[in-house]
Amino acid sequence: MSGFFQWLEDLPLSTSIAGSDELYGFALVLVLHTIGIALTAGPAAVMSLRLLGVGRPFPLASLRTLFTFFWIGFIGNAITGSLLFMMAATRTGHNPMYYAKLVCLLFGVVMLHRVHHAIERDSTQDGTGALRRSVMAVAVLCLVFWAGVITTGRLIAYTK
Amino acid sequence: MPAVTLAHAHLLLNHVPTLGLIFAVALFLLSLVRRNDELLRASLGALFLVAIMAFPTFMTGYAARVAIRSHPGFSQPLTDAHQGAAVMALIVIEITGAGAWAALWQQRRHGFPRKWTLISVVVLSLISLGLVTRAANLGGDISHPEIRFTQDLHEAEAAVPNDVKGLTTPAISQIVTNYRYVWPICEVVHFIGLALLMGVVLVINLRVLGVGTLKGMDYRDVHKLLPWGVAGFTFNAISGMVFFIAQPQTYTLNLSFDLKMLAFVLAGVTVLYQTMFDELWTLTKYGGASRVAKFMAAAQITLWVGVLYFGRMIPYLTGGAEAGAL
Repeated sequence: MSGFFQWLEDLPLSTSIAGSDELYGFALVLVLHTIGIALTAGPAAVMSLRLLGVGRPFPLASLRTLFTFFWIGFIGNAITGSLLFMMAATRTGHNPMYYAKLVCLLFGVVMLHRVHHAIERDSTQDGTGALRRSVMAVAVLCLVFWAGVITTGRLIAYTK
Repeated sequence: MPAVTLAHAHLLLNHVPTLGLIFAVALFLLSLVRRNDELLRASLGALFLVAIMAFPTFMTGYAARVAIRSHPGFSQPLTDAHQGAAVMALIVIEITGAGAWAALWQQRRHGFPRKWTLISVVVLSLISLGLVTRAANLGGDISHPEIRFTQDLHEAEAAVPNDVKGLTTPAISQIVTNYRYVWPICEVVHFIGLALLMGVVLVINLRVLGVGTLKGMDYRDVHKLLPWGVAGFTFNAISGMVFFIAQPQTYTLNLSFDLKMLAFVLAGVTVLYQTMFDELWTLTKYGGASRVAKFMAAAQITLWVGVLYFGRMIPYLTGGAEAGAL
């Protein structure tokens, strides 16, 4: 794998962004990745909190629009995250924290899909109905995994 | 014409927590005595604004320090004492501001603030007043020998209160340096706070703007989310203050940080608008907001994205060559 990581890091795209002192180079990728975190983890947190009863009785169905913002943030972060990885592939590729982040991300998306399912299936259009415990458990797990994505993501810079 | 610097800004802003707090606390106490709801709302809003303005007041203090450190008669111990007292005052003012905002929120939610919230705000605001007076007094001692209790500098330095010494930049930097996990933990807390805050900011403001299915929310219900946004902001404020106090040289005289603080103060004003003014509270399901409310909502999203943008750009949009030698 080391050869592959080195190849990624040596690609003209990686070296040009990493070596750029301009504000639209590395700094812009970093900013866009942070905005992407806000667009993914933020709506995921709000939707999970609503499933746990916060903000009752606004209807669950009214949160559907947030998924659009989530997917914009997710696709954006997939692109910027890949660029950030390419720029430091030899270091990040050998860091277990990076793989912990990917695992949290996978489970975070799976849990959010379940949250989406719960919102779509909500029959109490006025938002007053009680939710099943299994749905609330999904909401808690969703919060935990997205907090995990942020935690492991930040710790990549401090671990080897 | 001489340039206006952040040191000038500090001289201007330091009157806000002192005089502003006196005004806000007097108004607050008067509203309780008179049992006047409008006055109460105005005074709680004033306490919240003072808390917002206390951040740039504190942070511009470092620029003032840089500006005067080469002056004859500059005293490091007196400046450290002022800073320690300012940190202590800032912490209590921020808790007071959070309490004032909670009382405003409860007034909206239940028609009146909880008794214990008001009692807490009374106690905290009086403590804030005492602490900010001491910080201001110690600040005055730095450049105004005529108001010191003694004209002898060494005697004045020897009289620095012990309780402020642990809150100086070197003391806090040492903690962050000695415990290497403090900085990464603060980074994690900062980003979790950011995500929580932005999630709530998006939902509330997109509702006001009438975007998609979010229009099906009653503003009174969606506003119940706001304490979670405030919780996210509190995470950011605490971790951000640790960053700032531990490494002021990174932030002081940094263009990006200055713009971040400006965006932050303006965003705070929009939050206050959404809590204090009646207009939004009549916004029912599928109802449309006024142009002013929509403008404030769009401004709030833009300003928080600005806070995020300039926060991330701190290492790249730099300025102020003197900052490194704090």
